[in-house]
Amino acid sequence: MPTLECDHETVAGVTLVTCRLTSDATSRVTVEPTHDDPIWPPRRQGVPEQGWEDDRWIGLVPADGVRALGYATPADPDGAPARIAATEPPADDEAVTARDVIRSLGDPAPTRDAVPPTDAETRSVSEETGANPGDDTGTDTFDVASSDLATPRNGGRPDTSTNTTDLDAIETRLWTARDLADVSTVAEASAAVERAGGIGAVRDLADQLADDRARLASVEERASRLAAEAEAVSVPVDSLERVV
Amino acid sequence: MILAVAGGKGGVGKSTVALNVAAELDAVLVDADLGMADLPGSSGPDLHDVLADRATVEEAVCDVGSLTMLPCGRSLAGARAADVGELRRALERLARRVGPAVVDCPAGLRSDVGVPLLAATACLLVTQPDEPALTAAVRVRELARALDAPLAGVVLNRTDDVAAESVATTLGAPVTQIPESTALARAQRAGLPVSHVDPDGRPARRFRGLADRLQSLRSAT
Repeated sequence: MPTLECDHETVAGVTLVTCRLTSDATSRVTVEPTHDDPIWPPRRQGVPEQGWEDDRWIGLVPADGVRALGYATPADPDGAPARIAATEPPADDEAVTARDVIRSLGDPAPTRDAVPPTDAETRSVSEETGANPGDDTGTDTFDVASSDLATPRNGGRPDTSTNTTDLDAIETRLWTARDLADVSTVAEASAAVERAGGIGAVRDLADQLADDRARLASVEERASRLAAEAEAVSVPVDSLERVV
Repeated sequence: MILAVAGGKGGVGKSTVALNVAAELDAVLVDADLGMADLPGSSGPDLHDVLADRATVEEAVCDVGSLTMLPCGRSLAGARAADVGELRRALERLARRVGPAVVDCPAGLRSDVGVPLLAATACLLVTQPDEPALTAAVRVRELARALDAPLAGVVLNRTDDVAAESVATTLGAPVTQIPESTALARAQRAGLPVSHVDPDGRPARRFRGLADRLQSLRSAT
């Protein structure tokens, strides 16, 4: 019969719970908190340690052995913070799960820092710091417009989001494209290619302009639609003021 | 059937092999390279959306030319939002509700390779006859063994009629050699199986032979 001993300590609003499971026979034990507050189990490679799933721990306790586990929670429990919810004999074959694989091999997702912030996130940071969006000196945000990542390579899905820095980047590319197109001699062509950063950069520029055309068409379509909707709708401020 | 196409090393031709094998087996081609997808995309929901619980696999499956595909998104934000832990369930649902799947795995040995291998009913290794590629293939073979994914075959890419007995013996599966071919490169650039560009060429015939052997797996699962 498994038994559970728990201890807990609250520090700065966070309770650290330690549990000690013992059993006289090998058992598969489910431990769950006695409170409804969230729990924060230990993590490996970004996923909860083996055994933790849906705010519960399920694992094997060996015969005459000890299993120790712990977690953190914002709860401040009066009595025992956790209890044994179920006990069953061990399964013949403890199957490997996808979470086990991630725990062993690592999560391949790019880190948060590698992902360009959305417009909303940029606005949020700017509001917090009082800085102007796009002002390099005021924030430490990723400059989407100046990066290749700003190029809409999202599987062909129309990207209708844009801002003035995006348009500035497109304008710069168009300036370079015109410079490359306005050549009439071999010497002028060589100089223009050199100014553009080499023939590889020229090829990239051609690809980017193709994406720019698609993106601008989407933006134009969205802007026209929004303009028509804006014309068609008006906020009845006077009526609303009378009823509230 | 879920066939995971893996190789460990990048640039050995996994995507080319996956595309052609999927076409020959008339299976759904899954672009499981969550961070650097390189198979044809679509404008609808994709694997990133499925793994972020924004779409079902049935909604994300689409026809791209002659292929049936579960494409993958290209954005870093999509890759970050995608939960690779859900990939097994998604692949199993795909195989159950849509049909057999050929999964183009990314390079490396992280969980975005491990989870497809865990879901797979068989694994196809793609490699080249050089030391780094063969070493990577051996590592993937070991991972596949640990995750109970039986090895259905080995594709030795960009070779033709070289002595491959030692590769077959070391990796423990029959070897199919796919020769270097401009038709194959042209077809891949266009997102087409080589059988559409040069149906009687050696690459197309080799892929047909490989698919015939894999058919027995498909009918067995």
